[in-house]
Amino acid sequence: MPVILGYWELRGLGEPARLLLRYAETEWEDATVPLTQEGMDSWFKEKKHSLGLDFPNLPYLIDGDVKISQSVAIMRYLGRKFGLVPSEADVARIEVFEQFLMDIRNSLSKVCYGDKEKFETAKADFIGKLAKQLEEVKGFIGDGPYAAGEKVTYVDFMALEYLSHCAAFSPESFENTAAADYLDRIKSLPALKNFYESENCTHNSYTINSPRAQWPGWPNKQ
Amino acid sequence: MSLKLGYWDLRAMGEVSRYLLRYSGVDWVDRRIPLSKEGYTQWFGEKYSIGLDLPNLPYLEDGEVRITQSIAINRYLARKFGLYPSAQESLVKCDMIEQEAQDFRVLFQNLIVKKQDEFEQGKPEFLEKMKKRLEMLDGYVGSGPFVLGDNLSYVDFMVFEYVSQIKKMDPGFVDGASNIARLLETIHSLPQLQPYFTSEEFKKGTPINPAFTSFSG
Repeated sequence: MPVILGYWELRGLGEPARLLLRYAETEWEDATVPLTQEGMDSWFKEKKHSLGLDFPNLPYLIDGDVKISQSVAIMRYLGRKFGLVPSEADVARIEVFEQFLMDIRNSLSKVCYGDKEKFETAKADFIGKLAKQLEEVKGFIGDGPYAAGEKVTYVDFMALEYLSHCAAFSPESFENTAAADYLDRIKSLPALKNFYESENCTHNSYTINSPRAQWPGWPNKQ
Repeated sequence: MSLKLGYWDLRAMGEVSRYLLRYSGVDWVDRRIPLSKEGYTQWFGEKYSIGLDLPNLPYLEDGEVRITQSIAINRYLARKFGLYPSAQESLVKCDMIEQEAQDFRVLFQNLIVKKQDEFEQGKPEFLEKMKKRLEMLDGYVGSGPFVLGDNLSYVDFMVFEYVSQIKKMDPGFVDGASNIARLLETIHSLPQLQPYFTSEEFKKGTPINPAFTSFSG
């Protein structure tokens, strides 16, 4: 039975799991919730409370009897399922990186979903901090090629997606950076390369955030 | 070999780790950086030179190990002190509750950093939203006695601290959540925590949030 990943029809918090599932080349169901009145009604009025989720929310993952919400819980589960986990000696270091990425995602989210009047200042503040953070990513990854060295782990998919959000938000910050090289390396992994190069690549049509956000992150637009 | 936790002189996101260390009974250094000009100068002066990959507060030093990020620290201490679930089935439940508890803190933090008038305006909606989530958590925890059933784990301390923080702002917060109320009591009564709860330090108290926020507690 294929794994089911449910999330809005956008990238946001659901995309790292989708990228991992594509990389794993496993059969999976991309249960997107359309951003239409119908779609939202079907989620809020029916599905949300009838899927057997203990904490009904999006994204969710259903794998047989296992039903999970909370994006970090989902990523750790998929990491274990597909062996995309660090060695025991590397666990703490990888979990620090996992949380660092969540911090960046949450900070950008606050800017993108914040008040219109505060947006420009908030954007400038965020971009001001980004350069230092990308230096820290460079130091952390080192020669890599991935976060845990030679081994691809679940945090690489979180890094790819959440740092790509930042790159779309502030392309100049990523020019000629080691962080951008790291993201390119992950994107070049076989199954992912096919995804990004395909005509139907969802990143050509999906927003990063909600289309109603102050900064939705439309593809190929600012 | 010394174990040291460095954080502001606040509860906020450092207190859970302090509870894990108090519970363990091992010797540890509770390094508190004052929220003063001196404290800021001290911290920002050394932040990039104490061997941290991704410098931040809180940080943990354990011999050669140097880590940041409160959740990574809590998970590290949990594995060290036998407060991390061993059964595969418990890992998912543990991760979900960890993230739920973290959401409680993050949403609380987002509220209290607002200016006073926005804070007052936002407070009722925040409490309404959080009580619904608390109800779900309450149902999930059930008869426990702990979050993961029979075995105490680090997520018990996360639920304990982050629910208690909100309860300080709204004393009736857990009134509709009897399992959570019971859990708070259970954790508060742990024998290993009694030295702390009877100490001068506890009686003096530590603010939850910085003085410049709308609720420092």
